[in-house]
Amino acid sequence: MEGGVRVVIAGLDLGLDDRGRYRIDGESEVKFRRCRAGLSALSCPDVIEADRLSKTFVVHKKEPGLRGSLKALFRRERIEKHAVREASFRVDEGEIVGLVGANGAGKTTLVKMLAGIIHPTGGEARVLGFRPWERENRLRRQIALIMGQKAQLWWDLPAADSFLLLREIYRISDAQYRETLDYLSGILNVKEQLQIQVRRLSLGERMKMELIAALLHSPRVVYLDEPTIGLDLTAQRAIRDFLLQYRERHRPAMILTSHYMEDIERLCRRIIILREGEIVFDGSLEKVVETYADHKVVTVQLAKTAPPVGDAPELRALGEVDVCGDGVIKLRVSRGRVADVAGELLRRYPVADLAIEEADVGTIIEKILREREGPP
Amino acid sequence: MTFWQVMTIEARKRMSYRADFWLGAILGLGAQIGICIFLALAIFRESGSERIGEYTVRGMVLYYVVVQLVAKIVRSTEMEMGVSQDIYEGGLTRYLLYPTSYGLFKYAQQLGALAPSLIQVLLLGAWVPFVFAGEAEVTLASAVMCLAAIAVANVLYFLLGTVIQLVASWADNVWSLMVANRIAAALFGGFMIPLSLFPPWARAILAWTPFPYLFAFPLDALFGRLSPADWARGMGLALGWCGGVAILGKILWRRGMIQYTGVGI
Amino acid sequence: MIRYARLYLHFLRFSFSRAMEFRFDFFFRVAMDALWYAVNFGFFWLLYRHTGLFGGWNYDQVLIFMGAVFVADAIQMTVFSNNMWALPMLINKGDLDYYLVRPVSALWFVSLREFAANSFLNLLMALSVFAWMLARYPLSLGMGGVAVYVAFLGMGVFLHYCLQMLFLIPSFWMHTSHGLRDVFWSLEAVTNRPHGIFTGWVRRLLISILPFSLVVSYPTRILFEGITFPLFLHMTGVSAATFLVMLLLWRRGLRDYASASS
Repeated sequence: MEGGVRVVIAGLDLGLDDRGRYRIDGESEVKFRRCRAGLSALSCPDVIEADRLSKTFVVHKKEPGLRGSLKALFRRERIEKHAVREASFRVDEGEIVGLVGANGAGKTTLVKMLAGIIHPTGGEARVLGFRPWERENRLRRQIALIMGQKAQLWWDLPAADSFLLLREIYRISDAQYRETLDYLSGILNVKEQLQIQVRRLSLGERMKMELIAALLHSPRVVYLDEPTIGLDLTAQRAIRDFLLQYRERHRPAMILTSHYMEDIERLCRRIIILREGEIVFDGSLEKVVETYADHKVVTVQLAKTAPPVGDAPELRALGEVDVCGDGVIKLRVSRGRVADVAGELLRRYPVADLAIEEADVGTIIEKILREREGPP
Repeated sequence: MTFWQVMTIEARKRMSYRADFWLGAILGLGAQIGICIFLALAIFRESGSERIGEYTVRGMVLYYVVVQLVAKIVRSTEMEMGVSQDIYEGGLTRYLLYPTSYGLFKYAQQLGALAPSLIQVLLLGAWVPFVFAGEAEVTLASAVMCLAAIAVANVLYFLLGTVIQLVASWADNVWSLMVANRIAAALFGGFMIPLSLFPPWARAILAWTPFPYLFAFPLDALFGRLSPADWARGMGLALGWCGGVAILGKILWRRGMIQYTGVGI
Repeated sequence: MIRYARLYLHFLRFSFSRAMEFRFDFFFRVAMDALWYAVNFGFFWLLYRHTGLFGGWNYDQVLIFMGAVFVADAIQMTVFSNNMWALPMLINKGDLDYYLVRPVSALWFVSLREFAANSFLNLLMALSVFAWMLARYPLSLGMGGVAVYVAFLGMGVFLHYCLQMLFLIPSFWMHTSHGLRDVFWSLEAVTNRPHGIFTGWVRRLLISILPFSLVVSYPTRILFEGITFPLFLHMTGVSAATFLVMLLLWRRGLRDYASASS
């Protein structure tokens, strides 16, 4: 096979293709990671590694008014803006990591450093063993960037024309190109739109074409910067489902930034929270809730025959009352007391239905971002 | 008040980029003036004449230096295509919602955009009276006449550019038309070569166009070549051209707004 | 090289497809250039009413020079100008991002991405005018001489591109390009004038550090005076040096690229 390597393990003769996969008797498939450092499958470095990565921008301050403008012609005050401060983390193959933070927290700056678009002012990073900002073609052939707010396709031409150019840029063989395009346009349900000018497509269709453009060359690393921004609910769902399917089949390392919690909750098992350029949390979504959510939400649906329940002191003694009326009681209860409170509610009121839910992840993250002190 | 506000906001915007200001002043305008000086000197050097038309070598150099300074003010932001961009990109919509005239708004922006140019002209033009003292008969009266002529020329140039850009309501790209206007104004307005060096038949034809009032007329006023009566007549014609072009602009505006969809082309 | 040639064919195809949608623009551009040619010929006609020589050249020689100026301008307008116009905006708006993640030279991509197909007719027109000026010249120029001239004009066009880039690349640091663009267009006027009108240190400056006179004037001088080794060395040396400086500055610019937030 082209670009592959023969590996002999305990008398078994195996062949590795260029992506590090092999077959035994055509039946099963086991993946070895082909690393830049050599064939050391079990000790392969992570796909993305960042070590104290930092970026500082210099901006100028100007006084308001015409006088300020004239003054600025001769002298201006410089201010340093620390967009990213000593960010360290790793991302493995097949992971989708969510980057979460307020506007200006440094998410996009971090992604752009890892994509090699901007140079860091400090620290180190490796993507597939390469320093991204050195922009080697061997790396660029394996990464993809999708920005929800910036288009990469030629506006006045059908998407199919842009894909042909990308095929040339990434040196995709005809067969591979046709297969991949067929697969991607099929899953995203845009086969009929391939020959229509991009500017005439809806926002959702345009975003799907952007995804196809980014994934045509089957990248091993994918950066998604707000891919569902501005899309309707149906389109958002379609894109999320597609990304999950794609991840299952191709196992790229993915970093996703989004302000939509549905994107994060649906796609990411692990999130990194940035606050003012610093990583304040790196872990699973469950851990965010366990670590920061000190309460759960208990919702009780009263039976139709139940008398009306007011916001009585005995109810407030059980927990913080969110909703009380129209036959529904919703309480925020501290974790340790959930079982007791649930039992008490069942005892006191004629309950038709009872639900116990974790606190909303978005609310928890918002709380973390607002806090001045670090995490416990 | 709105006019003044719009003007000052635009002036502040232009001066917020100080690199642009200094580069435009020292290198840009300076380079243009320098090239013209060499052109004038070369004409006299290689012709061997002491006088070409009514100009001595110093007189011609003075002409080219001053015409560059005057053009900087008269042309202002002409190639920025603000009006046609508003039409193409749908940015005109917000102006249509404002309780104010779009034309006046745009002219206020143009005047505001002049702020850095005025400072540059003052900085680079301050040495001219000293270097060329005695070369031309500049008096207070001629200076005032020149300033008034420049003001009208600025309005005329703005109107010509705006009328061309209003064609954007029908044509897919008007940039070429703007360049054509600039080229024609440069030759027929006296920017590339003094109009007095044109043959008499050409000058007679040009007198029926608006171009001589853009650059040549203000310079003639400054150098004392116009009597008050000539000046008044010229100003009348220039203002007449302003009126005529403005009426044409109004007609194009009304027809164009019928086509306007608000979402850009 | 072949790959880049194939990519460029894609660019050409895209550009022609797009340009066909803008019919008026084709005709307006032809009219604009026709007027520009007429005004320049008119300018020199007026000039030569008062002098026999200008920049050391007679009227027929200056007409060839102007024909070459039109061709150089038409090539620049067709191949480079749309890309040069867009570059500062790509830098300032952060739209350079997608060019930087592709496995092709970003410099090549941003410089040649758009071919102004709507100026293609102008290029044909300029070539016709140039050929006409060469044909009507009263003295024999020789096929060899003309071939050398055309080759050096090609080098001049490339030099013009490098010079323009040198004035646009500072957008990486200045976040605005108006001032430098104004300076460039002011200096660029030098290319439309015979080099012989400049004297002293300005003349030396325009053939070395700011080699605008090498774009059309020097090749035209080579046509009339013949090629000498020092002239050849001068032109190729300065062109190569300008290109290298531009390349270094571009790489430095990419290093400092801030990429506006999305």
